[in-house]
Amino acid sequence: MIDFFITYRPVLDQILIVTGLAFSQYIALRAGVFSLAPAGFAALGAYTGAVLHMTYGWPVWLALICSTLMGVLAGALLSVPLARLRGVFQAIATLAFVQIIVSLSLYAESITGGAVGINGIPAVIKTPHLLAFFAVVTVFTLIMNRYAVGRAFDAIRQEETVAVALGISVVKYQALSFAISGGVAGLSGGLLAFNTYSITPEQFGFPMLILAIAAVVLGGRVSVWGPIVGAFILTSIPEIARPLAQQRLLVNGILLMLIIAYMPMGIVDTFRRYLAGRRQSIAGAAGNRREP
Amino acid sequence: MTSLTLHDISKHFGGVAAVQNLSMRTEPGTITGLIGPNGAGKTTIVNLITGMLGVTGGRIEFEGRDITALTARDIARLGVARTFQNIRLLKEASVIENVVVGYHRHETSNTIANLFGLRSARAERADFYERARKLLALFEMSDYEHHTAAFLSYGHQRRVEMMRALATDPKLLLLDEPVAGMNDVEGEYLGKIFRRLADDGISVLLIEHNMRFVRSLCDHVYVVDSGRLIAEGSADYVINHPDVVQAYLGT
Amino acid sequence: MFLQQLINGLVVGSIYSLFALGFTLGFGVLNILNLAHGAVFMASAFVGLYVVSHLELPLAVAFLAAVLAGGVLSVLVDFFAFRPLRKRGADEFGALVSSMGASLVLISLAQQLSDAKILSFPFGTFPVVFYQIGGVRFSLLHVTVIFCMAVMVGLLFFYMYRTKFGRQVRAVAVSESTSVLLGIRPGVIYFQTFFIAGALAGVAGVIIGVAFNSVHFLMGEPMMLRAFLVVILGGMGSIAGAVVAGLIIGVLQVMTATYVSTELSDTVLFALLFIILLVRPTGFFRGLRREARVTRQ
Repeated sequence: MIDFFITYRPVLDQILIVTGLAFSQYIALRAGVFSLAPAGFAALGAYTGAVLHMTYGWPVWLALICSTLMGVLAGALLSVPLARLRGVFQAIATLAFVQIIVSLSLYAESITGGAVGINGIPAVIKTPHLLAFFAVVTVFTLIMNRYAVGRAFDAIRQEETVAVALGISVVKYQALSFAISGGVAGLSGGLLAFNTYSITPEQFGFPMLILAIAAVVLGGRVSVWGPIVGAFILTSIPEIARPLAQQRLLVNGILLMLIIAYMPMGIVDTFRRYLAGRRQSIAGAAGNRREP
Repeated sequence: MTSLTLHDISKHFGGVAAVQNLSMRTEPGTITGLIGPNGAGKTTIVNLITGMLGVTGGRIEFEGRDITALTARDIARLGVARTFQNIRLLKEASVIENVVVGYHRHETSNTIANLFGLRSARAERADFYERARKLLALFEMSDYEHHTAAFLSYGHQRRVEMMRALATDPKLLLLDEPVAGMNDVEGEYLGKIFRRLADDGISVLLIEHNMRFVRSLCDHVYVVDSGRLIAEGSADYVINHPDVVQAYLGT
Repeated sequence: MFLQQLINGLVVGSIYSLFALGFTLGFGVLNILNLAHGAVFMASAFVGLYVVSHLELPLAVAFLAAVLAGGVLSVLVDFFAFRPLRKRGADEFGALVSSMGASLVLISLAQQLSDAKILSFPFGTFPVVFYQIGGVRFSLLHVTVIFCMAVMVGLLFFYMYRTKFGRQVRAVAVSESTSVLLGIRPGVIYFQTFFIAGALAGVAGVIIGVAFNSVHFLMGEPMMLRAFLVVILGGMGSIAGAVVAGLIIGVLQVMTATYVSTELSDTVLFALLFIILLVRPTGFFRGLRREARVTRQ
C-alpha cells in the first residue's frame, strides 16, 4: 500500500495542483464570468514566487503569499474591463491575457530567464503541503458557496437580470470572484514552482489553459466536487493509459466536444440532478394531492 | 402620500414610440391594475419603472424621490420588487434557495464574514432561512423546500417567484401577469394573497389580461394601448368604456 | 525604408484580412465564435503543401485543393462541434468550448502527421521575381497576395449583396427565427457560411505557407489572435471592417517588428486587443449584425 503511494506521489502532487487550477476556473465561472485566465494567473504566481525566492532570497512561505497576492491583484484589476463585456468577449480577453503573460515571460529575460525559464528552484513543497492546500481551498469554497457570496454568485450566473432586480451588485461580485480566482491560481502556480524544479513560459500557455477549463467542463461547474473529479480524471488518464499520454491534446479535445454535447453539466452535476429528479418525482407523486 | 408616480413618461426605441406621455400613480395599500391589449407597452412600463430601461422623457417618482435616473440595482434597493412575465427562477437551485436570494438587500454582514463563515454570516443565514420557511408555509409550499426549481409545476414556480419578490420586503410590488396560464383555483388563491399584501400597506401594481381577476382585485385601473393611456378609473367603469372595448376588439 | 515596410505591412495585413473574413462571417452570420478556424487554416496549408511536394502538381492546383480542403474541414467542424449543440439548444459557452475541442483535435492530428516539424514548400514553387519602383522593392508574391485579397473580397461582396443566397445569409444574420418563417433553411445557410469561411482560410493558409515558407501544426494560433483583433477593431460581421482592420494590423505588426522588436510585436497586438475591448468593444464599423452585443446591458 505504501509502495503504491510512493510510486504515485508525483501524480498525486500533480492532481492536487491541477485541482487548484480547476477551482480557480470554477470560482470565476460560478459567478458567470466566462474566464479562461487561470493559466495566466498561475504563471504570474509561479514567476513571482520563484523570482522573489531565487533572485531576492525571500523565504519560500513569504514568496508563496506574494504569489497569491499577485494573483488576487491581477484578478481585481482585470475584472474592471472584463465587467463590461459579454460572455464570449470575456473569453477572448482572458485568452489574450494568458498569451500576453506568456509572451512577457518569454521577453523579460532578465527577470524571468526567458525561454529557458527559472531553474534550480528548491522543491520544498511536498505532498503533505499540497494536501493541506487542497483541503483549505475546498473548505474555503464550501464556505463561500454557503453564505451570501455564493448566493450572489449563483443568482448572477443563472439569471443576471433577476440578480440586479434583487439589488445585487453584479460588478462587485464578479470582481470578487475574479480576484479570488486569481488568488487561487496564483497560489497554485507558486506551489507548482516550488514542487517541480523549474518553470518555463510554455508551461502556462494553451495546454494549461485547456486543462483548467476541461477539468470543470468534465467534472461540473456547480458542485464543489466538480473541479475535484474533473482534475482527478484528467490528470490520471495519461498515467493509467500510457499511450494516451502522448495523445493528451487529442484526448482532451475529443473529451471537450463529447462532454459539452452530451453531458454539458459535467459528471458530478449531471449525477446530482439525476438524483434530485428521482427524489422529487417520488416525493411529488405523494405530495401532489395536496394542491390548494 | 402616493407611492409611485409616473409624470408624462415616454420611451422611444429608434423611431418607434413604445410609450407616450403616460402619467399614472399607485397608492400604498391599494392594488392598481394596468391592462391593455398585447403589445400595448405594459411590460415596457414595468421595465422603465424598475430601471431596466431608461426613459426618453418624463419623470418617475417613488415615495417622493426622483428615481428616473437611478440604476436598476439602486431602485431595487429602495424597495421596488417585480415578478417577470416569463418566470425567471434560478432553475438549478432549490425552492428555499430561490427565496433566500431575495433577502439580499437586507444583508448586514460584510463580505469577509461571508467568505469565512464568521458568526454574523451564520446568524444571518439562519435568520433568512427561518423567514423563508415562514413564507413557504404561507404559500403552502413547505413540502417543496428542497425541490429543485426546474422540476416544479408551473403554478408552483409562479409561487416561488412571488415568494422571492416578497422576501425583498418591498414597498412597491410590480406583478407582470402573475396568474397567466393558471386555473381559477390557483388564481383565486394568489389573489387573496395580493389582497393581504395590499392590506399590509404594500403598493401593488398588477398587469393582467384576465378581466375577472382584475375586476375582483383592483381598486383602480389604467388602460393603455399603443403606449398611450386611453382610460382610467374603477374596474367596472373601465371595462365598459367604449375606447377600451374598441382597443381590445380592434375595429 | 518606411515605405518599404508599409508595403510589407499591407501585404501581411491582406492575409490577416482574408483569414479574419472567414472568422467574422461565422460570427456575424451565425453568432458563433469558431475557435477552430485557425486549425482549419493550418490544415489547408498542409493540404496545399502535400499537393505540391508529394503529388508534385503546380501551385495553382495546390491552391484549389487548399480552398476545397478548407471548406470541407470547416463544414466538418460545424457538423461535429456545433450541430449537436444547436439541436440541444446550447449556449455560447458550450459552442466556444466545443470549438476549442475541435481545434485541439485538428492540431494534435497535424502534430502527429507532421512529426511536429516545420515543413516548407519546395524551392521554386513560386517564381521569385522582384520589381523596383522608386526606392521601393516588392515581389510578384506581394502583388499576387494583394490581388488575391481584392478578388476574394470582391467575390464575397458580390455573393453577399447581390445573390439570392447572399440575401438569405444576411437574413439569417439578422434573425434566424424569422428566416425560418420565410422558408429559408438554416441548415443550408450554416453549410454555406462554414464552407466559405473555411475556403477563405484555405486561401490564407496556402499564401502564408508560401510567403513565409513554413507550414507547421501551430501556425493557426497566432492567426486567431489577429482575427480577434480584426473582428473587434473592424466590427463583427463587417466585410469592409475586416479588410480595413486587417490591413491596419498588418502594418502595425510590421512596424513594431521593424522599429521596436520582433518578440514584442505579439505583446503589442495583445495589449491593443485589451485596450480596444476596454475603450470601444463594439468596434468601429457596422456589420451584418447591426446590434452585435459586446457589452452587458
